[in-house]
Amino acid sequence: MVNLSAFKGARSTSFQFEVSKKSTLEIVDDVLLKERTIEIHVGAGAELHWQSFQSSVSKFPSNIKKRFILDSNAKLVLFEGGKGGSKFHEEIEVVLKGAGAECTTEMLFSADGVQESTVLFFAHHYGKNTKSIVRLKGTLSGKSRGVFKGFIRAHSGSFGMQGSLEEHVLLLSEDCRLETIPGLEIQHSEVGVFHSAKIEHVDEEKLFYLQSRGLSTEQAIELIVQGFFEDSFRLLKSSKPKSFALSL
Amino acid sequence: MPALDYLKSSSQRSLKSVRSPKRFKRAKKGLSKEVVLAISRSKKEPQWMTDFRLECLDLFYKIPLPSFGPDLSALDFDELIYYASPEEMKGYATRWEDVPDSVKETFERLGIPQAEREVLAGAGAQYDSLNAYHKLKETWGKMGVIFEDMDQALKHYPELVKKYFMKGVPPRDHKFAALHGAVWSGGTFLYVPKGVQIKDPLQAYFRMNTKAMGQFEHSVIVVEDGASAHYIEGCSAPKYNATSLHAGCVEIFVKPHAKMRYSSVENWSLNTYNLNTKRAIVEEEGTMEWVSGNLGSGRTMLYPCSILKGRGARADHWGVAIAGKDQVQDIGSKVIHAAPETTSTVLSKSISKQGGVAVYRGLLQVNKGAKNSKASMRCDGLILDNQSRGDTIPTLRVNEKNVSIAHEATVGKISEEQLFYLRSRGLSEEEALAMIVNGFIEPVVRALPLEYAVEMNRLIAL
Repeated sequence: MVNLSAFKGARSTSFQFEVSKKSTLEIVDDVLLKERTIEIHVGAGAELHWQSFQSSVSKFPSNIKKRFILDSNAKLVLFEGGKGGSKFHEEIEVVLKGAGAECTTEMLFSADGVQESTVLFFAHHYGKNTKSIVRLKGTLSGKSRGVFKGFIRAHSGSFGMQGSLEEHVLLLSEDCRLETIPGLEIQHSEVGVFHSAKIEHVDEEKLFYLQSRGLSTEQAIELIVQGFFEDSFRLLKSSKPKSFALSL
Repeated sequence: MPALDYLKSSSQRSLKSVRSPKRFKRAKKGLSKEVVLAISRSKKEPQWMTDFRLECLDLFYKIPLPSFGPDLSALDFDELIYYASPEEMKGYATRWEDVPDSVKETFERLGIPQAEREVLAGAGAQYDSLNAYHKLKETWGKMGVIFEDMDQALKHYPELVKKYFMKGVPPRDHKFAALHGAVWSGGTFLYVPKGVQIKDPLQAYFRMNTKAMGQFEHSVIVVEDGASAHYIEGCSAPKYNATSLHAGCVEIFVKPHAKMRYSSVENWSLNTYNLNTKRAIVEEEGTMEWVSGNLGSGRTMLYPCSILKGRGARADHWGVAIAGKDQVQDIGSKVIHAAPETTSTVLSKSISKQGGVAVYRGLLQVNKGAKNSKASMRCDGLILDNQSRGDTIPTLRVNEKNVSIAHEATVGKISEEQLFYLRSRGLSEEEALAMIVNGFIEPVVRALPLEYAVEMNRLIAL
């Protein structure tokens, strides 16, 4: 397990590394940086668990770019949580290059105030029998604006690929704005691809139920939001996410 | 040289299956102020329309080509003929017998026999730039229904036309809307007065027969309070080597509590660029239904749009697109929820085969204040071989909290299990494939009028 605390205090970082064949690496990344560009090569049969928690309280924008290249039978379990900052921009690209490569991703975001949150996810399938499962969950409150764009691209030759992209957004205020573009680009027939998007607000019935049990409106909404994110934490091993979830 | 000249149609003889009119009246090739003025003059239009055409031409030169969608670079605006009609066609006929034989034969061969008109409340047939035939059953005429050729409607009901013409689709919208405004010709004007519910459908058929032709028919449909109508549009063109352009425009105004269904089956030839604009503005408790089948054209960009302007308005979009060899079907639906309690459903099915590209490009927008709106969008793609492509690019834009929006999309191939099951019941592979494909598009085809559903099933047969 690697902790990126060495980067604490730095303004920006840019690095590349490789997870060598058949090894397993777990990374917890909770260092706040305004600029970050990372490229990671996951070797054949290797497994990478990446957990990132970006919780910026500053008024400054943050710009994060991550690129993962997966060789044959490599496995990536990615957990991305982000909030805060005046402008939050995160771009994740997963290149499933080798046959049998797999990627499971949970992306959690919350935006508040006048924050602008842009989250982009691209899965490029090149290898045969590759698989990507992506779930994007977010809440918008205050006068925040969210742009969520997810793309699964099945390039020619990626026969037997499977892809699933789910987007689920909870709107918590009257003045928030959302734009979501879940895209699929499929260049052959040997595929099974699915995507869905659901946009909703806090269910009045749920709110009423919780309030009738003595909770204030704020407490009730907090509980509903926690419940909304709850099932996304099943991927995680460390205790870090719990506290992060509570802060969302 | 006059902009409208007379040419012998020797070039038309490449069309073997359908007899062509001998002489054509047509505008000279290319787009210019002179051509636009000549079109307007030949129709003896009021000054406001001539001025409007010229404004649109200016806009056309200013607006760039769309930055998305299929490649349109091969479309040469200087190589197109913007106006053409058979010389023997002097205005449109209201009796089928009066339609020139050559034109009549074209339509009859396309499967629009005289008998079909028996079940229609009204029928129209446009040949190149002009309507050859337009007729409304007397019963509906007596009730105040207007079903006219657009050029004639401009003469007979100038104020009514002026009130609605290009108000739903302003020419500034995009390059082809501006082009359309400059060179439009023909189309339908349908006005259904308050409370009149036309039980039988009205139908119009558009045929582009001239080589390297641009067809720009303009249809305006106004369905007044509590009224209802069903309009069916069919399109086709023979195959030539030269590129043709279809940039028609449909504007529908659905007034409070009114209901409108617009069904269309487009089967243009492969050298046609089908860049049509269709839009409905739906008022309080009004309902708009779009049923579309896109089968032909080399390049299609078509996104029927519903603007739900009044409280409780509703829009349903059902569409099927089939992209075969050398085809790009870039289609989708646009729904804008601009009022509270509005509802929309979108169901899109696309099939790509033999290297075809089917793209679903949709927009679902909920404006601020459109509280308690509900929207569901579903798009499914079926890719039949490894040379073909299917993309899904919907945009969901939400500026209101109290909404419920669901979107789902799937792209895949025919399941081996389904094939195996059908083959084990004695069907050949081709029969099994055809059955599965028909089942896939069945929810949309069901909404089409029977004769089109039959036509579509026949065309889809693998």
